[in-house]
Amino acid sequence: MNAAGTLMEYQRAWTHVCGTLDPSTAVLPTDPLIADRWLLYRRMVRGRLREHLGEGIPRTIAALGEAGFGAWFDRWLDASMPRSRFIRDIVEEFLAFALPRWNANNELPAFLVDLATFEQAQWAVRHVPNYEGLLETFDFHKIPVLHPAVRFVDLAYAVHEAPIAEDPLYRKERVQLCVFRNKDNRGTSHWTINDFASELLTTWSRNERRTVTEAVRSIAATRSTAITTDFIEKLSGFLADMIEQGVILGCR
Amino acid sequence: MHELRGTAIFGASMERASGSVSGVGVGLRLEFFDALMAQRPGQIRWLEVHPENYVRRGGRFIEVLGEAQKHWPIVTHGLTTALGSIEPFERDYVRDLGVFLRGVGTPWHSEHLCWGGTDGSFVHDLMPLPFNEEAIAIASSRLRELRDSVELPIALENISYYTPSELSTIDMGEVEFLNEVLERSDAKLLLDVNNVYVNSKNFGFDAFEWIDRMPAERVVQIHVAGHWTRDDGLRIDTHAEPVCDDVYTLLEHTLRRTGPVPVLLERDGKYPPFEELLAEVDRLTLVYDRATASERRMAEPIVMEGAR
Repeated sequence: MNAAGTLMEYQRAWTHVCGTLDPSTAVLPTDPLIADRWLLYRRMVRGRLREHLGEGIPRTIAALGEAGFGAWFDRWLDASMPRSRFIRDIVEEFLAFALPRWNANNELPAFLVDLATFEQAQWAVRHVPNYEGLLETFDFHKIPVLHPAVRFVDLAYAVHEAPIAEDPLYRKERVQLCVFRNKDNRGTSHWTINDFASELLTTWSRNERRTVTEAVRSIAATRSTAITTDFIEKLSGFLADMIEQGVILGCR
Repeated sequence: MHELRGTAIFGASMERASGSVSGVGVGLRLEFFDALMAQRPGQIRWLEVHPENYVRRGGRFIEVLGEAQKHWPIVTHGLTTALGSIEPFERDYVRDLGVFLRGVGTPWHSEHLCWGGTDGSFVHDLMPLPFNEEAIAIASSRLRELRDSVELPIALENISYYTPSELSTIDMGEVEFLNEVLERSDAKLLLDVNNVYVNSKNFGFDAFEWIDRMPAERVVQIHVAGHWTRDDGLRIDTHAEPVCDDVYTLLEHTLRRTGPVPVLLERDGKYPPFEELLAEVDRLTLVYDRATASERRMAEPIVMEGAR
């Protein structure tokens, strides 16, 4: 670091030391004591970020192993330091970097992307801002409003279940999950949903202006699903559960 | 129609504790929130929160804050609007911050005298500034801008730092640097006594002399916390250890200068049983009461014996 540098150059150099893969090639101050302390800051900065990712995606990190995860963590920071002031957002930022690369990497466990996607959804719904606005009570002839803290994931492995003592660690089976924040705000839950429910909920989560009746009829028509008494009973039970759990907030 | 206002802390209808911010407070943390609410200990007089933990967020954090502010006055303390960063402020965030500060009714808002990232990135740590004119100009200008934006007094907090900077100006020490920023921005001071102590040990200066040279009239709040000492003697401000005896002594010296300004116990890791945390609050309260007794007596209304 040149003592004649500006504050901007100073801060940029230090940020680079914190993020770069190999700090020995970074521009460190010439004074060995000061250089050593810059590296102390590097460890503190990275330690905090690493700890926070551990809160967000613990199972994904465990699946990769400390060393394996560490290598991806290093690559992420080398590419870009966090862009959000909210440290909770680094989970999203890290996965935005890692998921496309993991998808293209055949040497990683086949379930890894699904596991990370599931944990990403769980983390997101924990923090999403609540709905603010006026709603009417649920009505089949009105447009339902889902809680913002709901995510839908479509997975090839049953990573929502406990690992099994085999390789791969999770059963290979397509599952569609509705992940949502618990009503008491303490943790998250998920439901396994079928194709019909997935399409129905996705329709509403995209804010398509279709009433309950319109959406059900439209999806049933495209799927050639007969709207029988049994179907209506099951649908009513499903919607009642969604309302009970706060996944459907009301209608507008 | 029914109203669903999850982030009702931003709404005018939110129930809020009345009363001034005085005595000893603690930082609101999920880790001990249940115990805090179950006991509602009287010795905890107010709570401090980090806006970044609540702005644009829902769920448990917002719920906890809503509950807490029914019982305690809230003071806000920012983590990421580093006043020494070169970046222009993120306008949307400053707007949301202002809404949040007004929503919780904080009497002032504090930020750190540090930098925290460059070119749109955040290091999520409190990075030290060189003690020089450029840093003074930037920090004081940003502080005034922030104060004008959120329309509240801004208190500047002194940080722990672990390295001298090659950019620092000879003869300008931390206290001169801090005083100059405060003077130019006419700001308040959130004095972190533990940070002064840690820096004094790491850089070999007299912490008491430092306290004697800071502008006591600007202090609106004090922080104390624990720190960790490495094998080589370097002290690291962790907020994860009990407050050490020397910091209690320095706190008492500080309070004798400042008078009864509110004191916050910071704890951000290795959380002890809640009773241990309360024991620390009790000890801080003893120091606070002893150091500020005369000033608090002077502030009380004089009542003639015969008029009782």
